[in-house]
Amino acid sequence: MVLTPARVSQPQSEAPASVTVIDRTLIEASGARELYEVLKLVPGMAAVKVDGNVPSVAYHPTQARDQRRMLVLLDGRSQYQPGLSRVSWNDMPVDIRDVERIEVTRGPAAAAYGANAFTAVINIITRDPRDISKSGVTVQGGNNGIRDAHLLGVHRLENGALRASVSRRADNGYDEPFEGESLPDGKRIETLNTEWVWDADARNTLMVQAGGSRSRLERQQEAGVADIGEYQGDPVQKGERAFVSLQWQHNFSRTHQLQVHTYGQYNQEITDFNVCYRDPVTGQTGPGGGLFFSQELRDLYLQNGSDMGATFAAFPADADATNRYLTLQGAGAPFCAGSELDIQEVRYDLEIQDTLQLTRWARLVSGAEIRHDRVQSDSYLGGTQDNISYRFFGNLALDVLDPVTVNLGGYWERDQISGDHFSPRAGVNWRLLPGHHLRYVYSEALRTPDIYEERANINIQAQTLSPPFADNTKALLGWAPAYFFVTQQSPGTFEPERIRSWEVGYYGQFSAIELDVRYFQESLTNLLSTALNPFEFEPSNEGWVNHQGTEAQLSWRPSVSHLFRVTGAHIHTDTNVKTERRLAARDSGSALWSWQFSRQWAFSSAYYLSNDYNDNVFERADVQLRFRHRAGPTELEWRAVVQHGLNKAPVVFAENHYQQDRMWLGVTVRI
Amino acid sequence: MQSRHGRALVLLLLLATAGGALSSPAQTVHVLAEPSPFKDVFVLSLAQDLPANLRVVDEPEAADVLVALGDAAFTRAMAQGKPLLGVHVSRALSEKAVQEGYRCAAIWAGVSLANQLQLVRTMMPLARRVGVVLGADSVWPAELVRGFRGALKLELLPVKNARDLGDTLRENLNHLDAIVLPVDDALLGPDAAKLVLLTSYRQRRPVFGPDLTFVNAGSVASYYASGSDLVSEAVQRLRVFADTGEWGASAFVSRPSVVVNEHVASSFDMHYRDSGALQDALQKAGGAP
Repeated sequence: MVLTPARVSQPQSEAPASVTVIDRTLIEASGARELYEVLKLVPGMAAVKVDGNVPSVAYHPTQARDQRRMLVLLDGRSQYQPGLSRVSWNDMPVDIRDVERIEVTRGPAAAAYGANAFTAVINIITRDPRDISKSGVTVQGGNNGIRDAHLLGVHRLENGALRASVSRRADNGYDEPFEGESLPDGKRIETLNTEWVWDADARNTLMVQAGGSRSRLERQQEAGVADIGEYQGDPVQKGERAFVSLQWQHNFSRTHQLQVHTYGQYNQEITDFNVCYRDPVTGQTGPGGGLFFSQELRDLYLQNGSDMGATFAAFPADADATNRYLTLQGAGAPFCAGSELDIQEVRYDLEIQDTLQLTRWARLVSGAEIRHDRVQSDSYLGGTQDNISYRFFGNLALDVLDPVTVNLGGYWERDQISGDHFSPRAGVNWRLLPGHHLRYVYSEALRTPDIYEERANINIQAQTLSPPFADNTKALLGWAPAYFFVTQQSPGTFEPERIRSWEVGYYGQFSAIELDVRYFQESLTNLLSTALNPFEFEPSNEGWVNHQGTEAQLSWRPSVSHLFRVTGAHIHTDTNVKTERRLAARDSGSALWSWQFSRQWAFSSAYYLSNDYNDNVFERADVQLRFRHRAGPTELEWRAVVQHGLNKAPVVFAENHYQQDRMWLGVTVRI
Repeated sequence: MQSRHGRALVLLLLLATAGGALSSPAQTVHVLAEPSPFKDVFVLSLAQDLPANLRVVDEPEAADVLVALGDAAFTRAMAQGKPLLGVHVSRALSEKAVQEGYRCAAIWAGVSLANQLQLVRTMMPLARRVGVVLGADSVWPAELVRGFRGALKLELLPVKNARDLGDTLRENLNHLDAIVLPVDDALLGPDAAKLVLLTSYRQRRPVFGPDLTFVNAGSVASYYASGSDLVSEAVQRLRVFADTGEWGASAFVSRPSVVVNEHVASSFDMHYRDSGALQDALQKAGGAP
C-alpha cells in the first residue's frame, strides 16, 4: 500500500509510478545514523556528502551539488526551499528515529505535486504518536567525533496521543588531515519534532505538528575569496528552522474523505566569514586590500562587463581606481572585513484535498493549494522577494476492465515568477496474473526557476571592518556601507526546466520474492546547467540531459529470520554540459542482508556501489550487530555499527576522503 | 455357484437393513436457543436437511437429543441430562462440560487457526511473521500457537483485556506482516475492533479474521462459520450420533465459508481480491499453511 504517487492510498501494483518503500524495519537494519543515508537503498538514487558535511540526495543525479530537481515532503510539508532551490538534509527538523516510513516515487510526479517534483518525490512519514508504545532515550558515540542523542516522549490521551522528540547529532566529517591540513567539515545539529493527534470523533481527526532545528556546520573556505585574501578562521554556517502544521481529516463516508492541511515554515541560514584582503599589487595583506570593497573597483567591474580578469587588466589604467588605491595606502593598517551570506525563507501553505470513490471502478482525488513564499536576503537578493502560487490538481483512477487500472492525472499552477503551467501524467497498470503486474507510465514535469535564479542581485556587504576603515568607511572606500566589488544580477528571463519521461515496468510478488523492474527514458531540457555564483554567473537555459536505463529492486524473505534486499541501476546519460554528468553513475546498487538469529540478537550488513561519481568509484560495506534485552521495567537495545570504505577513492571530490572506518556504539533505553 | 451365493448375501443384507429401519423409531431432536431470526432459520434448515431417522420436535421433553445454539442455551441444556450437541459454542465452555462428564459435544464458535493461516498464506505469499492475538476466552489455546510449525512464524500476542490490546499492537505490529484474530466476544467488542482495525491500517498491517462482521468493518478476509455451514455440520454430527451413539470430539466446522473485503484486499495488494477467486485458489492450494 503506497500513498505518494497519486496522493491517495493505493496498492503498489496499481500506482502510476515505480515506488520504493523504506519502512522502519529496513531503516533499522541499514544501521544508518542520518536520514539521507537510507536513500542509498533506492535504485538510481545518489545520497552522498558532496560538500564536506552537506549531503546531496538526487534521483538520476546530474550535477554534483544538485539539490534542485527533486521534491522532498516531510509529513506533507514541502522541504524544497524556494530561495536557493535546494533541500537541506542537515536542517530537516526530524531525526531518523522519528521516521516510520519513506516512500520514494521514482520518476516525475509533478502531476500530483506540481513544479519541482521533477525527477522523483521522497515522502517522509514520521511515527504516529498513537502507534508508539514506549518513551525512550538513545545515546551513541564513536570515532570521528560521532556523538548522537535522541529523547522520545509519548503520552496517550483519551482520544489521541502526543509525541515529542529532541535529538542532537554531531561528527567531524571526512578524514583528516587532508594533504596535511585540517578540513573544516564537522557539524552539530539539533532537532525538535512534536505531534499531537486528536480523534475528535469517528469522522474527524486533527493533527498538529510543530518543531524546528538548529545547525552549526563548519564550511570550507571559498576558493574565489581565498585567492584574494586570508581567512581569519574557517567560515561557519548557522541554520535555524521552525515549522507549525495543522491537518484536519474528515470522513463524510467510507467512500468520501476531505483533508485540509495548512502549515508555515521558516528557515534562516547565515554563513559568516572574516577575511584580511591582499593588496592586488603586492599580493600581501595590507591596506590596499580595501580596493576590493571600493566603489571605484565596483564601477570598473561593471564597465568591464562583470569580467574579473578584464577588470584587473584595466585597473592600472583607470584613474579613479588607482587614486582609490593610493588613498588606501594612507590607512596604514591591513584591510580586514567580516561578511555574511544570509538567507531567510518563509512559506505559508494551505491545501485542500478531496478523495471520492465515484463508482466501484472510479476514484477521483482532487484539490487546490495556495502558497506564499517570501525570501529575504541582502547578499543574494539585495532585499525581499515574494512569490504567490495557486494550484489545482486531480487524479482519476479507473478500473476499466478488471485486470487493467488507468490513472490520469494533471496539475495546473500559476505563480508570480514563472506564469502558468500544466503537468500531465498517464499510467496503465495491467494485472497479468495474481501477483504479476505490468505498467506503462508517461509523465511531464517542470522545475520552475527559484527566486535566486530569477531575481539574483548579489551584493556582499562588509558588515564589520577593521580600524581605521570602520570609522572612516566613506572616505577610505568611497562608499558606506561598503560592498565587495563583485556583483551579479539575474536577467530574470529563465524558462522552467522540463522533463519528459516514460517507463515500462513490472511489479511482482511470488514465492518469497517482491520484484520491481523498470526500463525508462527521460529527456531533460531547458536546464540551467551553468554556474550562478558570485564569482561565476553564466545565465543560460540551454542545458539538456537524456537518461535511459534499467532499474530493479528485489526483496527476498526465504524465512522469517532472513531478509535479502538488492537494488541496481544501469543508466546511460547523455548531455551537452560536462558538469551535468558529475554525479551520474553508470552503474549503482545496494545489497542488504538482515538476519534475526535469535529473539535477542540481530545482524545486518549492507553493501553500496556507485560507479562512478566524478570518476571516483564509491564502494562501502556496513555491518551492524544488535542485542535487545529486558532489565526490570525497561527494554535495552545495544547497537554496534561499522562502516568500511572498500576502496581508496575519494567521495566525488578529492578532499572527501573516507579511508578510515566509521564505527559507533549506541544504546536505547525504552520504558 | 458363487453367483448364487452372492445374490443370497445381498438379499439378506437388504432385509436386515430394512428390518433395522423399520424396527428402530426416528430419533427426535429439539433445538434450544434464545429466540431470534437465526434460530428460526436454523431450525427450519435443520428440519429439512435431517435424514429420515431424525426429526425435529418442538418440546425438549419429547426430544432424544438436544441441540443448543450459543453458550447460554448450551448451559441451560446441560441441566437436562440428555445427549447434547452445542452449536456455535465457546470452546472453553464445551471443554469444561466434557470435563465435568456431560454427554455432549460442540461445534465451536469460529474456525480453526489452520484455516485462517491457510488464508494468510494464499493471499499474502510474502508474509512470514504473523501475530495471533489471544485473550483468556479466545477459541484457540495458547499452546496451539506456541506449538505451531510451518512456513509461517507465529507470534503469540497474549492480551488480558481490551485496554491491553492497544499496547500489545503498538509494541508488536512493526515487526509483523499480518495479524490473525480469533473469535473472542469478551475481548473483541466494537471498540476493540475499531482499535485493532485502525491501528493496523495505520501501520499497513492487514488483519485476518475472525468473522464476517470484522471483514465488513475492515479486516481483509476471514474464514467463518456461516449459518448453512453450522447446519451442515450439525446434521453430520446428528447423523453420526444416531448411527453410533457417539458424538465424536468437539471441533470447529470442517468446511467453513470464506469472505473477502475487496476494498481492503485491493489496498494491501493481496493476490486474491474477491471471494470466488480466493475460494478457487484455496481449493487448489489445499494442504496446511
